[in-house]
Amino acid sequence: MPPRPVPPFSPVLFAGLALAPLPTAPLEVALGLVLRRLHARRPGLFARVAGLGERALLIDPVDLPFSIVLRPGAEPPRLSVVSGDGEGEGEGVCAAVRGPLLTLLDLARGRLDGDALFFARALAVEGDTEVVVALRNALDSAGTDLLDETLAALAPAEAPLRWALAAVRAVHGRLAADLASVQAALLAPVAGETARLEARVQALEAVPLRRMPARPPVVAR
Amino acid sequence: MSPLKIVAPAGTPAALEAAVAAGADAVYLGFRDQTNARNFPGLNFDRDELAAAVATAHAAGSAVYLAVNTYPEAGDPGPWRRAIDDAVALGADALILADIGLLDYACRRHPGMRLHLSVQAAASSAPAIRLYHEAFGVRRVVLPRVLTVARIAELNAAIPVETEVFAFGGLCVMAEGRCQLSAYVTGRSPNRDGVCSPASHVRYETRDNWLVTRVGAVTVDAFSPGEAAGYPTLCKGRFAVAGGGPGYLFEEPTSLDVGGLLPALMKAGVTAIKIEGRQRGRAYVGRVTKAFRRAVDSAAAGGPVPPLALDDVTEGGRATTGAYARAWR
Repeated sequence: MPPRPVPPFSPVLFAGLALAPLPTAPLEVALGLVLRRLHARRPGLFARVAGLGERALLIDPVDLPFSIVLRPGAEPPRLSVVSGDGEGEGEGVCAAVRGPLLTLLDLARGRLDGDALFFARALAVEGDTEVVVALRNALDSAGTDLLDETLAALAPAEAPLRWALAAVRAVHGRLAADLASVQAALLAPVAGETARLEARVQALEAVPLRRMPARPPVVAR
Repeated sequence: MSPLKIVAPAGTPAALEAAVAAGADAVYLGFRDQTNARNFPGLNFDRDELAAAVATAHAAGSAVYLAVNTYPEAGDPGPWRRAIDDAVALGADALILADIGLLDYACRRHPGMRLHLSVQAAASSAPAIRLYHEAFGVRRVVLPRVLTVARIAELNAAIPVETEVFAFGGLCVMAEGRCQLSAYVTGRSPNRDGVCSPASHVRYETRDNWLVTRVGAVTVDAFSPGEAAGYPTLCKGRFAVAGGGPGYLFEEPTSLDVGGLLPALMKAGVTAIKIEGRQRGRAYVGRVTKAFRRAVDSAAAGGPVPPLALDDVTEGGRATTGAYARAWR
């Protein structure tokens, strides 16, 4: 697998850094529960990926310190949570989808088009494309909001989780704007130097190329 | 002028619901097998889903067209004939067919069924279209993407059937139904197996932040960091040719967009416009259909065509009017 793409400078990245020291086991238990309940509620969705068998897909939110190895075609479907970008993890992993968490979430919720994200290079796909395409189509087929399904699957915790998510949404926009300002301030010296170099390149490009001397004729010996 | 009918794609029940909600006059779809030309993994409808789709669409006043637009394997027309029979039994409003054997079967077995000629049949001349009408009762032809608007107007004046033209989405640059590029490289025929550049043969690799696309053993393209990417099809690949660097031999990655030509297409006598993209997600289907609904309604009322604002869903981040406005064609 190639190196993990550089994550966006976002609140999710900082949240991920804070979460990095925590163990992944509780998250794996929670996501496993969601997967089992989704399997029970939406059998048609999993029928679309049944042909994948044990082939596994690595889902890598590049701004978080963990990745998910998902076997959607296994009977029953299974997942595991691995640290970092999943490099070297998970037997049978034959494809990977990498992107910022919020982009992956919007894709799973049916709010964004996967092909458009791919064209714009907002998502990186590697390996066995059949696994990626099948899962994308299956998720899209249900017409469901995966986030709502996830919260519903965690039934006793649904209400507090919704409250927490609403709170996160409320501050996320402001945090993102603040971080954009910080990023602009940090990059200002580099941006100035880049602009100076770009102007110099343009000036050089405007100078006509010097005519190269003609090659000496090839003489048979 | 009567408004153009909008024919929207659906690869899944959710996409069908999005199309209907966005105001599609008709939705086209296929069964989950090789009988249609978008046989991608995880896509398409089983029989129960078609029945539900018909009920959903009809409740909203939309029609359902079933594409059986690949060519049967010699000696085994069974799956294709069953697709036709089941679509009729489940209440589809029209069949989109390409093969003359299937057209013959459908018109004899289901004489009242509305038949549309698929673009896969590549019928672009008045004599060819008249033959399909006279022999099989075809009532609409989906025109290949090789005609100018002026030529479409001439054609409409010379044929007794409705015409449907592509309005948005992916472009085939070859004569549809005749292209062998993908079959040559992968061994699987788009015209028989229903899939061009099958996902099972496509690999993406990242090398120094370049995106490298391969189909089978052929490297199709390498996109520089940040460069907009396209579909992994051979016809839109960049290849190094003798004496020069890599370049597009056939066509660049770009999407068709005829938003600005809608009044001209209406004047040319076109009945319906088709949005490509059964392999796209429900977000794409809903958004593109809604944009065209607004544009068609405005044009039909004699108003200006509002900007579609669909650049971010186009292949390669670019759009073209294709052959419709190419004088050299």
